[in-house]
Amino acid sequence: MVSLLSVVINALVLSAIFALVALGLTLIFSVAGVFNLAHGVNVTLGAFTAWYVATVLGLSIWIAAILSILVPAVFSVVLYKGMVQAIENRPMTVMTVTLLIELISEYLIRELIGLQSRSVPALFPGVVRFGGATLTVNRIIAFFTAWALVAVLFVVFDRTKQGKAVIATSMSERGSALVGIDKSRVQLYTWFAAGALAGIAGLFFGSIRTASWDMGLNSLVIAFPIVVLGGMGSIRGTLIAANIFGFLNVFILSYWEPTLARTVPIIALILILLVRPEGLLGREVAA
Amino acid sequence: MPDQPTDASDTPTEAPEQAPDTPEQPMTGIRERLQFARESISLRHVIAVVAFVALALLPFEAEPILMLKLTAAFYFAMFAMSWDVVSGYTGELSFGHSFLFGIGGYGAALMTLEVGTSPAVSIAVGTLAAMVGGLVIGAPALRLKGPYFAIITFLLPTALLDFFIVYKDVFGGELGLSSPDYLVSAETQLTTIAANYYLALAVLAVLFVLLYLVTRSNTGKIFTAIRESEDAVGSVGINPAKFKIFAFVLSAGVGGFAAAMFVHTPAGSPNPTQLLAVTVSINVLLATIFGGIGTISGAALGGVLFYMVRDWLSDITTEIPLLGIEFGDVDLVIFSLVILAIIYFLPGGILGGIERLVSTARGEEPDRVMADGGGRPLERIVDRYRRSFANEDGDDTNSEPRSANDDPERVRERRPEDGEPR
Amino acid sequence: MSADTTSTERADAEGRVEPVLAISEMRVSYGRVKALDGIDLHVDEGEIVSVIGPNGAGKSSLAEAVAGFVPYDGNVTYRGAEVATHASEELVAEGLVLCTETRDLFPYMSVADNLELGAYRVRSGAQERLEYVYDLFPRLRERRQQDAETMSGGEQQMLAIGRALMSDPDLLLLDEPTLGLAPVILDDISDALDEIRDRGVSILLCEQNVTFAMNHADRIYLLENGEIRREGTPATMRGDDYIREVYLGG
Repeated sequence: MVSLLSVVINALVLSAIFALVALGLTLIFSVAGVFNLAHGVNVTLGAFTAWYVATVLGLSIWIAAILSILVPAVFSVVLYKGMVQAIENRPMTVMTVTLLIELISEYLIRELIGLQSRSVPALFPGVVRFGGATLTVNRIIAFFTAWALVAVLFVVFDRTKQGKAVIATSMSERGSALVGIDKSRVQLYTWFAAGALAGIAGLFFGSIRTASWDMGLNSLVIAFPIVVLGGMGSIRGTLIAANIFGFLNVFILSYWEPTLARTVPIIALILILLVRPEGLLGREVAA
Repeated sequence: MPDQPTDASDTPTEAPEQAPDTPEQPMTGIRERLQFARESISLRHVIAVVAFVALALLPFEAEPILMLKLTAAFYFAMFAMSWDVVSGYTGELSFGHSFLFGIGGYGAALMTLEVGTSPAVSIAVGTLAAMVGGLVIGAPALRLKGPYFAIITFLLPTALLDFFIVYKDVFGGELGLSSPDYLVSAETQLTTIAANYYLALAVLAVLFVLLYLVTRSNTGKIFTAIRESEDAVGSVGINPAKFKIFAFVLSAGVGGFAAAMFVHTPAGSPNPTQLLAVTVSINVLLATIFGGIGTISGAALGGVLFYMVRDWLSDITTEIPLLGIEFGDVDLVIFSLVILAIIYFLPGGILGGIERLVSTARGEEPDRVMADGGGRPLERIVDRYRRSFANEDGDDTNSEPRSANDDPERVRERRPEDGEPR
Repeated sequence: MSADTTSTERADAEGRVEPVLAISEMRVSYGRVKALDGIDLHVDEGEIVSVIGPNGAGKSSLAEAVAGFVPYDGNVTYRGAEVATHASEELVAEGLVLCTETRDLFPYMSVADNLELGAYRVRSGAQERLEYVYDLFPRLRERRQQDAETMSGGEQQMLAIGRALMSDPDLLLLDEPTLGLAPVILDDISDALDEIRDRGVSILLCEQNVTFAMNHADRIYLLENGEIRREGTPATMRGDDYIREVYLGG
């Protein structure tokens, strides 16, 4: 039986990684008004880039880590520029197209890499003991890195001109056009950041759990309830919701039925839509 | 909701006009849409009739295995039609229709297998269960504007499949349940197959007519109008949510019924691959886009064609050069790529493409032909959230007001969201 | 009817100055509905030109088309360059700034952040202009840490105008700045308008409040059903029977 403490620590770590995935979705949704169903590809790409560079090519895990951020970020930007931008005013078409991209990528990854799970080497090997729980240094690093990135995001959005422009666009697209904010530039920043964040999440998933061909879709299944509960566009809401679903996920995995770890968030999502569709911190929702 | 923050009000008269200058325009469009049911016998109807007759004559020539495949293709076409009613017409995309097929198919099979009711009763129960499932999901998700419905349907089949896997004693897990008795069976296997073939074709025809009539009725016009502009529909005193939920429950009934029938034939059985897998939902969507979204006939034809072509593709063992992957393994990828091409280059699907070719050859204006239930839907399954005014589609001269007037709305109609970290 | 004597004289005196904004034969349509049908209008350097007309006459369409938000047929030139060839955000950088009827503030951002973003396209002088805006609307200075959405309608209007001024406008398009405002606030906006004009900013004021427009404009156009029906100075417009009867209450 796992100790409660290690379950809680696990949940904290996992929540932080979920938050990275969900933040990208939220950002793209609030700036572009579209849901990127291919967001999971970024996670998978991050994990497998790291695995490929570190394990197959045998290069340093740090080079692997950097590439696992850059590759998804570039993929995300190329996806936006190449496919989404032309149809960005048709959100439903965007969802269809990005879903197909997700499926195509998933199939290709499965065909190229196989059904077998891979593991990404730890960034920092070693374990520490903490109050009866044993945890890997890797997890601690993942946790702090994720929150450090969140802090960086806050500073960027709060203090920098371009960051404010992103937030402004998410609040009022028209207002941002009135003051001369170039929307396509804001979009580019957002898609890049979303891809990078998801890539880091993939790297951590890969080294804490494993990298598998279906990890992208699996992380979307949790990221969507997080985004909705968070209020579809609220960064703080997303962070809180990520922890709620992270804990839910880990507790179901540890104490109940592992297979239901995907089912419960979805049922929770239906209940959220019934009870509080505007999410935790959402300002309003059109009924 | 416009971005306009709520006024703490200096005066009670402070009520800024909402749509500047042309508030009446979208509404006239809607009213026309609601009042005039313009129908013409178009090429697609001819194709449908010819295909139907050909399929009816086929058993006299065909191998049993082909008949079985076609039977499955017919049920798949019904799935596609059921998807089209809600997604193609109201514009609320369902990414998880297999949830409904799963409820209908598994529900009916369990009735026959466990409760011991006759297949006919089981099918009725399965259909009802799917409709209830549609209501339970549709009622919360469809009363909201935004991508909630798309997201929740995207997740549902996974949730249901996981549930079935956990309770595999009842639901059979990944392998599914054993096949219940057939609804119709005969002395020899061959006659049974032929009988089920005709049954499937007949059910397809009946459902086709039913859905055709519904989508061409005033209710159908409202569905289309919702796709064009939910706000405009709301502003003429119609509750769009009610109609969207109705469309979804109807769709659930049709899809659930088809699935319940399907599991009671030699062509299908209650298992995840045929009913519930994410790929079933995606295939339904692909097939409908392939045939032409928002037309019912496109879904029917696209469904049959898609199923058969995929089946044919999956048997091909030739390797793709360089990658060393067999064609048959990546057929879904190939189909997805084809569909992407259709989305970008042929928004009316194959039927729309053929019709456009024919009408161009005849020197006709290509647009009106497409308008059974309204225009070129994929292009306009669109944004109740935002709208484009940059319409670069030169050939799109149809009457829908979607050029300049959409712009003020496009920029204004964004929900204020809390994106500000502090 | 060509009563735009004052401005023509001024332009001629300076030696045939190009108007800041010149609109000719402008048409805007939404699908089959024509919002603007053959508009001819110009704004000279330093002028306040007002477009008056009832709700739905096409005033907002005019302002939005000029600012590059709505496509149009015909010619709209700002300082000699065709507006349609520029993206709206470039026009802002060139000093063509629109302040919309719906204000379109950033609702959950502070007054100070809203104003700061107003200067998004401006390279220098943002700090001085911020002081200028705060002096113009002292209420904004008092509430600079408050979120835009929590302010009253009048304050929001001040913020919208203030944000537009932060963009360093050369031609300011004001769409219904007085809509729904209390008389006290109206006076503040009114004073600000004079002050802005004194800084040399040319203004195109789309306004339903005819009295307000008459008090500020050098010239007035009456827009009805997408067409210009009358054109003249406030004095000639006041003398016009039709205007008196319909817009000034007899």
